[in-house]
Amino acid sequence: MLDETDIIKRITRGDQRALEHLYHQYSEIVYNTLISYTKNAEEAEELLQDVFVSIYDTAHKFRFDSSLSTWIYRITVNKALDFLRKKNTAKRKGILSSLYRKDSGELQYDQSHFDHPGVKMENVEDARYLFQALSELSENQKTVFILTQIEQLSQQEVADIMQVTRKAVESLLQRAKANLRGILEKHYPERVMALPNASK
Amino acid sequence: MEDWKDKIIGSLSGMDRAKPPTDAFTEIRRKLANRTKPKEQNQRHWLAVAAVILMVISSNVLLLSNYLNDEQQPSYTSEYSGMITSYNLYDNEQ
Repeated sequence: MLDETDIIKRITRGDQRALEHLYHQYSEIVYNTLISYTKNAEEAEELLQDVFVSIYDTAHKFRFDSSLSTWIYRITVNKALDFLRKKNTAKRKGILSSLYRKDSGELQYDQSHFDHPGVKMENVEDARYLFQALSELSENQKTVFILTQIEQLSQQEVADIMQVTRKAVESLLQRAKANLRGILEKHYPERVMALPNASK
Repeated sequence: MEDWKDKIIGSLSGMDRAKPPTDAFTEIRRKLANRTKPKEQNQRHWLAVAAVILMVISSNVLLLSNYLNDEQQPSYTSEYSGMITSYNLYDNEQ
């Protein structure tokens, strides 16, 4: 069994079998993190490949001053955020119109109904609302929410990944949850109407 | 009663992990292999440039050495002026 230091050293020398070994260890967490950001399986797959290509390219820069999983999560989060920024820029530049079908005028790639493949059957609808609301959070709040609530990482691990203090992570998480409540109330007022006593 | 917003916010807890596609690593290998090709092409491009430069330099050297050799050769220029002084072949008939 190879330890992580050996794996990184071998990858630095261009050993693709070591990269494959690392892939089998981390591909699931990388893919799941990416799918939480993109809400699209194909985009998550494309980014998964990019993350491991980046790991292969930058293994020589890994200084062993953080854990390997922290470093891999950092690359993953950066790739996902870069991807979302580019996507938003493209939308702003007017490419948005091409996303609509000419015949019906509907969105071609409507991601509002993203169903995460791992969500329990009874939570599918709620998870759909949550993913929709998540896309309205700021980058940092989104990252903290995904890593602590979906990836189930500790606040200290998230602080290491984001290179901020644990206190900052705690504060970001509180604000993320408060904002999510506000977004859900704004977008789904029928829920408030249906359950008038629920939110008290 | 449970807050419906908290229920939504907590709806992802305990969910299973999604499995990445089985052929994803094959795609990674393919990307790495394709990426090395431009490097090889780049090397070939520079080899071609170097070959052209070498050819230009050697042809110039060849031309220069031929020119210098010509300078050292004795001149064979003959003077033929006056051999044909007149083209009037029937001059004497008149």
